[in-house]
Amino acid sequence: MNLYAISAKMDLAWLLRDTKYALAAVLSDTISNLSVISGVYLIALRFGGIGGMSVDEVLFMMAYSTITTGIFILFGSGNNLHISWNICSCSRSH
Amino acid sequence: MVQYIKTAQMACLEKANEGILSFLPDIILKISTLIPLIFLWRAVMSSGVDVGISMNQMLSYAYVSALLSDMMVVKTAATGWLSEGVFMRLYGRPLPVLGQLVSQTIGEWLPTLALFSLPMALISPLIGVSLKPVSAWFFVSLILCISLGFSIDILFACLSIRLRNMNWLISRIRAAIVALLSGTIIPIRLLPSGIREVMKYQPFACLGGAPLSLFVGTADPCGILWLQATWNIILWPVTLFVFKKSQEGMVSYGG
Repeated sequence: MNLYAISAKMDLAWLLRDTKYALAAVLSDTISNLSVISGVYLIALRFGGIGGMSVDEVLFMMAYSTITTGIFILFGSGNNLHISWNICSCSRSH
Repeated sequence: MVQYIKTAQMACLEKANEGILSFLPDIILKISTLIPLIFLWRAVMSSGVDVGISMNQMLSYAYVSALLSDMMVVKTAATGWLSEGVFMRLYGRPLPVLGQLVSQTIGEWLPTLALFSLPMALISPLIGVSLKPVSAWFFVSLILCISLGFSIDILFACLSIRLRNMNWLISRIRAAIVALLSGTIIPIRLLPSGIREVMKYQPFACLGGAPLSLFVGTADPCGILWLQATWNIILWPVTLFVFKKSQEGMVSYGG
């Protein structure tokens, strides 16, 4: 468990190593997620829902999807969950 | 001019040097995205809400957007200036850098156009999608869209030079902004009233969304072309100035 805590601490230190970088990272995540949600939400708003789902149901689905993706990223930062990327790209670069 | 054609040819061959089969995963991915998208729009448009665009127009819009996706929102190799060492190759040749970028990018479009766009255009009648442009001004608008796309791409590249080592973040922000504001995925006409009126005047709306709306005939060619020309006139001088200044700030591998 200690190793996981150290790993999490290292990830946080990596994100906060530079104020400009940390702000840019947060901003990029915010814009990216807002863009995905707002596009579909605005369509649902205009059409009064999508495929039999009401606007609120569409919004709930988008929020649920964002949370799921967030959890995935939480445990998969630094390409932890993308093994092929680590093996291929990193081993080739370094 | 010959040297630019040769640059485009080299870029095309470079992309295709692993053989036609190497494009297969990319083509499968594009087809796997396009076909569900067509069915999705069919489902959305069949709701019967009058949004000023018919189902056939919407299907053509989505289909052409996918077929010409590289041109709708231009992405050059400039975004990898530092991380991929692109600038070393560009500055090592006796040609203007921006000219090389343009011809290189056009060269890279060709394999996808030949292996994905052309076959999909040929089978479009089977899917029930019309690929006949309503207005011939579409082609003029497409040229203005590509020109503006290069300008905006280079501005983002300059931003990546300024912010050093933030290519990934910049590309994420850019993808998010462009996806929502360009109208290539969701036509601006389909957005709720109020937002729609504001959105159509911003520069990203003059990218893919502008020629596509002329293709399906949902916009006035005069207004669209004026707006595209205006943004080109405004952004190109800014781009050239910012690029000139940014060149001095390029840092790679500590040098």
